[in-house]
Amino acid sequence: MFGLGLRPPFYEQAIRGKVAVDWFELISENFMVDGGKPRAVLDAVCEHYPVALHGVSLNLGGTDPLDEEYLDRLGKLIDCCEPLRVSDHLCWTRHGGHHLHDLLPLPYTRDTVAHVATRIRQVQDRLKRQILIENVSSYAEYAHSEMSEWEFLNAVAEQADCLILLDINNVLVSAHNHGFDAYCYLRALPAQRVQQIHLAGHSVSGPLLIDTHDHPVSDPVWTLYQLALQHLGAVPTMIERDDAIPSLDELLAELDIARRIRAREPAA
Amino acid sequence: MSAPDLGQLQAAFKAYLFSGANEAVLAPWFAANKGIEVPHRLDVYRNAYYIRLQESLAHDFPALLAYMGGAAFGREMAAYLKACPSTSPLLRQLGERLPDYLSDHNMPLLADLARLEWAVLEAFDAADSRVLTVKALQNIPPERWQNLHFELHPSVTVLDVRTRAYEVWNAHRKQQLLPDQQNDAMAPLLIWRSPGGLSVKPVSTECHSLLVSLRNRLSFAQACEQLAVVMDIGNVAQAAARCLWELICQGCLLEQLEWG
Ligand SMILES: [Fe+2]
Repeated sequence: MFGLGLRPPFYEQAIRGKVAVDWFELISENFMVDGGKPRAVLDAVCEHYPVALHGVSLNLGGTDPLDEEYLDRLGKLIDCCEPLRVSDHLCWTRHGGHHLHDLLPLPYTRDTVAHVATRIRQVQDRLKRQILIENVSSYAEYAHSEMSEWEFLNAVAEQADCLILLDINNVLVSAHNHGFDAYCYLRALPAQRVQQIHLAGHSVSGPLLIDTHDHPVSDPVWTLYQLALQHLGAVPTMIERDDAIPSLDELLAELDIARRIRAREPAA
Repeated sequence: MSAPDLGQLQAAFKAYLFSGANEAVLAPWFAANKGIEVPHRLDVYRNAYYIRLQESLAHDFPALLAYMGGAAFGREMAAYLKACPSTSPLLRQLGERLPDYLSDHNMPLLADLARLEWAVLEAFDAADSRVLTVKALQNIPPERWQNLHFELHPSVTVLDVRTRAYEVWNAHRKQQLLPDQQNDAMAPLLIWRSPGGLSVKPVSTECHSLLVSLRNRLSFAQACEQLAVVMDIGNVAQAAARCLWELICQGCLLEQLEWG
């Protein structure tokens, strides 16, 4: 039930099946190549562990047509590693054929809900499976939003009949940046749809928190994690670390904190 | 102010990330929650965009970065990103047009260096394929050699460089200072991946000719005819055999052979 995001410094240990995790999450785009080292790593890791695929370029909230070639590659990757879960983000990442390689914010309107839900349904039909959508950190909110972020997330998941990847650090970061109650957010989520949890660290930049994945999981995130488990029950959980990556032992020790919190929860 | 539609909003947001010039158009569409000014909030996205993409280019072109220095590299990459925004969902493809961009802007050495580093990246994750062995070659009956087609391994790139890019790249790889003395012999380069790892090496004129012929899908006999253009015809057979042998030993040719 506890995993880690697979990053290059851990490839060697993961290939040999020597890491004490139940599963790894792989960034889909890193393995959309024809061969060589990335493919060898993929094959070897899949021999030892179940994996989840996590994408960053599906552009679910964009207005450009869905990228057929990208979906083809994702489909092939799914065939090749039979992932536990396939996820991407509730955001937009591309416009006018240009990829911005960032998770950009959407206005929380009824029109956007319908737009994104339709695209998610298209993806799910194409991949013949439900996908998980992740809440992103945001630094700006649109003046014409008609609902809260959690109402938006729930409405999209409901209309698309998709699952949710809850990033607790992203909830904390956005709650801080926009001044909403993170606990309120967690309590509003439909427990049956939340199938995976991300934990990560952030950094502080003046009045804003930034989702940098370059610090250990913060204490407020651990507190929220505990609250989330009370509401959601046992959900597969992992830590994302993308910068200032510590030793594997350090990350595994952090994952143990999650395990201990879970063990204390009667709901688990 | 009326609410923009989603496409209009994303077009403006993109233009803002690229240049920042339309901040006055974009900012009124956002809320200044918690008293934090909208321009400050939007800055986070714009900074992150350039930092993320520049870091990706720095990661993919380490010798270019070392040779240019951080400040010049940063300026040139910002200009490149404006001229050639990413068109692939894979960040890995971001530098694909950098060699041509640098050529077009009259920077031949930097262009060659970028071309070399791009070929290394391409070799790194090119398709896996079984390679031709000397033993397999020995089993080919002599009468079939005439129409034999050899195919290059997908990881192979043949580069016709006209600058000292290889010297610069090699000095960076070995963490050495670049020799002041310019080496005049600018040999073509062969870049490929074998089970032993990635290799880059200068090749002779004869081997380059053979490689180009194979890349152009000429038969072995036609490749030998091309060789006769760059060398004395009496030495062609021997040179072709030697180059072929080298390519096979290096794992540069595919196991699959074609005739006709
Ligand atoms: Fe996340």
